[in-house]
Amino acid sequence: MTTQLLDHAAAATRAGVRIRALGTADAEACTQIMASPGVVHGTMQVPWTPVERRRSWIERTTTDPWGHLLGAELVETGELVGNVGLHVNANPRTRHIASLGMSVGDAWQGRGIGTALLAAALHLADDWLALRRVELEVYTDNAAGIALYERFGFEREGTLRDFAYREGTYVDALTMARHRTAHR
Amino acid sequence: MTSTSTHRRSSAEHAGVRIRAAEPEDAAAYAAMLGEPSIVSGSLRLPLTSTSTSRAHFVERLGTNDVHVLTAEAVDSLDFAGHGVLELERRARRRHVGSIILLVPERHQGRGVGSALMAALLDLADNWCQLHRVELEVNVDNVAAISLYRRFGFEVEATKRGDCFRDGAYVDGHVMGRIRP
Repeated sequence: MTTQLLDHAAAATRAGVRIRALGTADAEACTQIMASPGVVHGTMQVPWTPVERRRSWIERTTTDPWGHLLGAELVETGELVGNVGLHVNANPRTRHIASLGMSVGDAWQGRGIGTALLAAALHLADDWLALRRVELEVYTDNAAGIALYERFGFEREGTLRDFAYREGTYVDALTMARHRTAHR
Repeated sequence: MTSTSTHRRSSAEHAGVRIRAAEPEDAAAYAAMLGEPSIVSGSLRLPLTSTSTSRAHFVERLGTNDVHVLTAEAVDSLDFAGHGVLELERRARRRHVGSIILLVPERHQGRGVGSALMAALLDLADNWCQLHRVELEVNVDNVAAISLYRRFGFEVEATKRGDCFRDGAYVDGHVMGRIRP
């Protein structure tokens, strides 16, 4: 893993996006992103999630001191095209850990937007929150997602069988984690 | 599926305990157990937690949907002998999943109480709650617990590095899962 990869500003510039904190005003845009079929397929979302429920999720996550919710908006149009959530554990014995989840709208895949979002989330984790461990779950057949996470140093820790239900069948998930211990 | 129910009764008899739903009256014994070193070590609890905090948490959970709390009670003395929880997942796409917590006070450890509680929790999971997958997390060095879980069909699926902080050091944790037989 190179420092270059973790340069979140450069990653955002390359992808043509601006990274910013999300708020309840973004509920509609987030609903659109997270309702795209590829996102529903790759996450724990259900189709036809109402905007109201998304709004209350954003409200809970952003008012909770342990939650961090970022979005990527296109520099040119201001359109929101992806988001990432970093949820730090509140328990004192696990507060060195955060779990991460992210979505990039189907129309905007393959442009480095996921890279920009992940670099920004890990900038928070490493440089401001002093986290030692960032963990996530990803379906075992999500090759693009796994490749992205591995580029950032996430390692596979095991496979959770029948982790979630998807399009009529149970699907396995990898649990992955990235460690950083270089705090002084 | 009746084999699980039979198993539940026989392992409780074997351990000399009765398994029943937890009641608010169990809160004090539960809170006292949480201060025991092996319980602090094997859970995510802190030492020196006020028992009033633990009691309130216990009672609050009894009124929570999708959380099933059991108590093992010694048949002869009626002493509080163990605590088991089956918590059902709330997220829509994981409604088939439940997670388990098992705590046995030190004076009752090594007598089969954990097995009696586990048999009852899996009876709930398999025969009443329609669960497909049951999962739990355990410190990698908690050998007795891991072997109990294996006997009930749990497999180590993942090992999470530095999963919790315990007595000054980071400890790895296993995620163990069981698919309904």
